[in-house]
Amino acid sequence: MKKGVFFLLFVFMLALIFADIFFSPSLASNTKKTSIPFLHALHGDSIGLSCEACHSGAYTNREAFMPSKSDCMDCHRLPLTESEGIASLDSALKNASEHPFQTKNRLPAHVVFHHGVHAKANVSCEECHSNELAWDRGTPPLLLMNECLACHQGKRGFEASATDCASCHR
Amino acid sequence: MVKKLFIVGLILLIPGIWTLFQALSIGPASWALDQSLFWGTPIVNFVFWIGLAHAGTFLSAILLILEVRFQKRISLVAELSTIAAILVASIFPLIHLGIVSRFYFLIPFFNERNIFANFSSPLIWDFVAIFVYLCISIFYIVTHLLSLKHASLLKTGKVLAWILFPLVLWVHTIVSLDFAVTTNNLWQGAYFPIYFILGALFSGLALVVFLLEVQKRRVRKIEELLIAASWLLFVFWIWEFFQKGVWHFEVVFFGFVIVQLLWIPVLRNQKTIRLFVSFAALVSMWLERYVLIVPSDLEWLPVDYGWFALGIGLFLSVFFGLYLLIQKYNPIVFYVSAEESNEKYSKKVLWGILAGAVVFALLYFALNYPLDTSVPLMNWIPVLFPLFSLFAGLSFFALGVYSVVPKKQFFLVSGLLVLILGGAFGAFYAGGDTNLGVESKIISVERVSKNNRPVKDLWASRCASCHGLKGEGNRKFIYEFYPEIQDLTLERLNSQGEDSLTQVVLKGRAFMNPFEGRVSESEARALIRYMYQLAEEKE
Amino acid sequence: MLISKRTFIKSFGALLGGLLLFGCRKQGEKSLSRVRPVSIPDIKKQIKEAMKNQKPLDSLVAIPVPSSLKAFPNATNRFGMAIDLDLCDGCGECVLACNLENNIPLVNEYQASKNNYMHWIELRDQIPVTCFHCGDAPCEKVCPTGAAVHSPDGVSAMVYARCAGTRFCGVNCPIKIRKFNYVDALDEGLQFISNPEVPVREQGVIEKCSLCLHRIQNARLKAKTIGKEFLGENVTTACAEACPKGAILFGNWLDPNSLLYKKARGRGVYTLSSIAPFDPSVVYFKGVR
Repeated sequence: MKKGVFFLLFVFMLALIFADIFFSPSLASNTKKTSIPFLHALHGDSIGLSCEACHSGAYTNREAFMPSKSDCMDCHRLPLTESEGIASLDSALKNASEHPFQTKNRLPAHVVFHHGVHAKANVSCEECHSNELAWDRGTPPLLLMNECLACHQGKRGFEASATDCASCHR
Repeated sequence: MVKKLFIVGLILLIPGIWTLFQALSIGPASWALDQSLFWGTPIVNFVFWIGLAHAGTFLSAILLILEVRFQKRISLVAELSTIAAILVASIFPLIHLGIVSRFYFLIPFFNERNIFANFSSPLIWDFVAIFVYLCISIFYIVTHLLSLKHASLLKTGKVLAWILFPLVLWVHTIVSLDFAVTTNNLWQGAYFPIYFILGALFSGLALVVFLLEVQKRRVRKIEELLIAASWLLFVFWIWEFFQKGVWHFEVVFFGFVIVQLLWIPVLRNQKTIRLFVSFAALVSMWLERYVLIVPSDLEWLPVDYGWFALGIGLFLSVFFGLYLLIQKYNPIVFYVSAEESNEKYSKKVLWGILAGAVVFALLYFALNYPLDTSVPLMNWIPVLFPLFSLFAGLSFFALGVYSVVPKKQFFLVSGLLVLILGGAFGAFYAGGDTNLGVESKIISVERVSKNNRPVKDLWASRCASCHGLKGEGNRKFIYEFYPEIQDLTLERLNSQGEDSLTQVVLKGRAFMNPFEGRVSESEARALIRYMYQLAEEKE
Repeated sequence: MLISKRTFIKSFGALLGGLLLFGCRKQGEKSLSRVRPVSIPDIKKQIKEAMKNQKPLDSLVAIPVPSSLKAFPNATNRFGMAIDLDLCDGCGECVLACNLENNIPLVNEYQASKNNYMHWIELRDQIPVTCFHCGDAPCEKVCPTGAAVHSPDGVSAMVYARCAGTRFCGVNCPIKIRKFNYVDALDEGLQFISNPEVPVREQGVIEKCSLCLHRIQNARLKAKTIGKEFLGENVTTACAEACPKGAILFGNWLDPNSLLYKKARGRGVYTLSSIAPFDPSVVYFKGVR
């Protein structure tokens, strides 16, 4: 009898844990899938483009911005390579909406992050956005506050910066 | 009687659990509070129950040190009531929180985000002190129970009593500081710690009178102490009246006038009168905390009443549940105590552990202090002794238990405890997920701004990918896929003219793309002027 | 009997405990779609009700013009406000502007009947009272988690994500201007989101005037991006912007070029008597010195 009770308890706890996993909101899948395959590696240094070329606010603005379709078409009006995938890319671009890349801001509403200020302080984009493959897949890694703090406290080779709460939180 | 009270406790727990459920699901709005009165009945109950807990320790540990004879007869009851009362007391501040799941923010422990609890706040001192107090009280009662079989543990019990003695005064001093450090005039006063400790003692004595009565026993000394405490409190009430003009008749009536009935032998020898007096003292102490914390009259909600069911129900069921459990395995334990033992710790062990405790307490500060230098060093002192006690109490307890319990069992249990505690601390260290709150907004596409953006930045983001940062052309890209762009010269720019070039930016031409909608007209013009500037620089 | 009494009690207890745990686990992300629209007239109505039952006001006492903070003696900024009582007629426009700027929730009928509004600016005896951003703030000293902190800019800030809701700050505030979120405003449809810049506060945290911290932050970030030192130019609070009489001034007490600093010259500077010992950054102007 005693064993039975413990078994029931165990099952109950397991059920609770599973229920919690199923019903809690997931942090992933914040990015809407687009039909356009994109590789950061092909668009970066190899063809002499800075991040700013597509993310037009990256060095000057609070938000980095996503490119619109016309931003893509600036270059992609001409067939750019002879590789096989180009035909499907062209058709995907042709059918895309005006704003094909829609990423939800994963920064909570009570945090303010200004890309421009960090660029001004010579922090390169890669300091935070290093895992470009993950970005290509549409599953950007979650940046936690302690990583912000490591830099701001001067532990990562940058000059120590503001660590009072009110400079980033509102 | 014991069983009946246990059942009463369980029955009271039904509305108690309902109250708990209400309070947790609705939040602080479920009891009487408003926008100027933020502390309500849970805090009243917290102070009341923690006071009861202290008295239990006083009657067991402190009287043990003082070698008072009647201590032996009531010690186990007092210790049990301490454990039950701390459990009840620690529930209330947790419920009181606006966001209960964030209670761990109050633990002054290393944190992944390097944010540290604020040591200026008495609540932090409270948290540490009460946590340590609960731990040592549990060690103490376990030692007591084990010492019935193994007399060698009596020395451990004595050491723990010595740790508990100052700790209990320390804890209630800190509870009183929760009020005394505020800006509220009615709560200020250097006498608050003593006033609170006395109040705790008074209510605790009353509780022990009741609990002894349940066992059909009586200790006259405690009744005398009750009268003495009531007089001391009366002095404080008069003092408060002259200092602040505070006078609460009901508190004085229940807490002072009725207690004086015990002077009369005929009445004192009647069980009903003794019970009545002890209840009156408890009521007066509850009322005293209520009028202190809730000065304005607020309409009570069901949950406010429910705290009584929760508190009393939980206390009765835990106290008598443990009582029955202990009695089942060791029926005589409540009536006899272990043989006297004059064994003492060797000086080496004693000083070794105490020195270790000092080092531990100081190390804690050394590790944490630089994190927040804005808090004066003085504010760290309140947790100094609790930390010291935690280390010393744990070491003595472990040492004592290790000597009497089978080694295998000892390591199994302690290993399990270390795992659980380590896991809990790990979870607190990592903290919770970031709460995204309201649906996060979509990162937008840059629109034409109302103000003119700095032209250099605009060139860098909109033009440089083809034309190059200095207008020299991006060789890696252009020369591979697009026809070569013209050299940037003043002559060429002049031949086109500023107006037509602006139109080229907006409307596009040949391989050049239209930027209308992404660049405003004035910005386009500014870009052309910037090209002139670049051309000049080149020449 | 199929189950022994002991077993029944045990499993019943376990079930209760489990249900409690389950009931209290973290709730799912709130979504905007559940918000019932709150209109501006609703907000105006509650402001009017609040203005009808005004709380009493402490007496005013004269204080010196705010100077640099004790905690940050080298800071170049100390933001603050001044409310010109010679111009103010208690119209309540500032309260409305503040509500819209900071997404301040409405309260439900029960709270409204107890006069428990969430307004960050209250009119007491026709005088606007808000958080005074004390330089030596009593609320910050007792906050156990450090959610109430002073920024080097002189703003007494609230970090909502850090607030556990002990309400000690509210208890220790001499004028009781801190507001506790008793209800889940989003859930009850009491939230009007008019400004995406300001986060919506969850149930169980304290909130109060932030001196329009988001505006200060945005302006500072903008200034820093172009490499300028920020002294509070081009910023003002929503209430100051909305005041039809121009009675509310926002500025930097440490910047001689700030309008606030200039206007303070020759004016009588006052504050509430209960706030006077705590070095407030928000003051009243009245008469001449």
